[in-house]
Amino acid sequence: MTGFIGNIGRQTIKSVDHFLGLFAFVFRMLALLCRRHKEGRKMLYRTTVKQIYFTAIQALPVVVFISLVAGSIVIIRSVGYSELVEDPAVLNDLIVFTIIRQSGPLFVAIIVILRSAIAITVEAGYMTILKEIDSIEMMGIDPVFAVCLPRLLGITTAMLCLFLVFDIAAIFGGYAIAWTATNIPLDNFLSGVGKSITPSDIIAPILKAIFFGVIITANCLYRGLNVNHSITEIPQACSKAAVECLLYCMVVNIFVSAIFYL
Amino acid sequence: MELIRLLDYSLKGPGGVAALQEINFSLNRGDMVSIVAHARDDVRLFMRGLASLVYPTNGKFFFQGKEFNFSDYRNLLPYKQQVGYIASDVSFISNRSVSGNLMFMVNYFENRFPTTLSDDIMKLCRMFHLDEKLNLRPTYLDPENMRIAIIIREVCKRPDILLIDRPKEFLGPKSFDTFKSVLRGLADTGVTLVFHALDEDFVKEFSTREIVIEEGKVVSREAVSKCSILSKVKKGEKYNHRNT
Repeated sequence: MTGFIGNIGRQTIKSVDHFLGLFAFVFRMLALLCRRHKEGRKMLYRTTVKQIYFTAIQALPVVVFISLVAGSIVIIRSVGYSELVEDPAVLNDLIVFTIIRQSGPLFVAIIVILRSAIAITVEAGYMTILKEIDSIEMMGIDPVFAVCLPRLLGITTAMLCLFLVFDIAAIFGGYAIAWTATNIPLDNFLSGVGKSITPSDIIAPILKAIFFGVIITANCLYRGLNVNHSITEIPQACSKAAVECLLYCMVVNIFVSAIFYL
Repeated sequence: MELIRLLDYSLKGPGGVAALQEINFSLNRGDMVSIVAHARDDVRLFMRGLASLVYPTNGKFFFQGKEFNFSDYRNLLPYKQQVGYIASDVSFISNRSVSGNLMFMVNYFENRFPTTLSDDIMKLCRMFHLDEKLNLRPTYLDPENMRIAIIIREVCKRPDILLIDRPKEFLGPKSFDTFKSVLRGLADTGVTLVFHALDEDFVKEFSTREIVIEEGKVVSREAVSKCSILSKVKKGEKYNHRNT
């Protein structure tokens, strides 16, 4: 019994320590972001652009494909029920709710976690183990500025772009697929969906993209940079980082949705 | 002028074992200090401590009269910029080419991305026959060339203090003589040198002082050798990389 309670206590202390460290790390990155830097500006800009390329541009085919599949399924299923519903605006609301508010952000978050989050955890882990972080410090350069900040900016910007791409591709592409592949009546579909979009549907995804970008980058880098002793810790850090990112993104998704839509 | 002073400085080794205890050590500008120790781990830890890559468990570290605050690693960055650290646990950034690594500080501190390396870096690259491998990623270099590249990077930092761990074993005999000639040039500029070497000739040539690490304590011996470099410098002889 004592061992069990002790174990709970140790795990609690470990979790609290992890969260405090993570928040301190996020704060440090955000503080760096707010400061005007004389040195390293061009390097920051270049690395950020590269990160946007890796996270957003290279992920476009996957994001577009998934958005088309998701969009066409939702649209075909929703419009298929149009005869059962008196007010067609309800179906438009349902499409906006499913694609823009809920599935879009989560699908994009999952794609970014699978593609980029794990990659940056591995990269940060290797840089720590192979003493590359020490080498950057020995040059008098803050590794948080040189390594972490560009990834934070790049991934957050990429998230915003991918949200937009996902929503547009899901609605327009889904509409095009439903129009060409089925005989379902789609009169006034796009204008109806357009009318169902409220200002909250624009602000909430932007906030979600920013939060997701910060959560994914900070958590993965933090896990990667805390690899200390051996290379075998890197896969463990990756799996922890991926699961945590997904969990935190879902919690934030619910939280932001609750603030805007409840 | 005193550069570094360590007061009751203790460091823990890997695994948290107390390795170096209550070290008292001072280093003046232009000093050339050779470290002697039975335990190689102690030397490595001492070097890492001097490079501020490991933090003390207690004691004080003064650099140019100012005490370091180890609570935030950012306080140490300006110091680290002035330290050249040549040891087996130093590496290159693997997702940049060799030239990208050599230009990293220029990219960062000068906010520019030149397409060619500066003359002094190119000169060293030619001396060490690395000039044709500059576009390779570090992983494509063989270990000796990788170490040479590290030496070039550290030397081109124009450090105030140069820490070198077993240079002959680090480099291999082939490039060792070239390295010594580079070091003679640096000694000419008055760089402060702390090193651990097994090569007696190297120790004789480059050390003005010897410290011994015994059972986790640092003991400073009186000057063990007349430093040939310094004596020549005092006579006003200038060194040239190519001539030596």
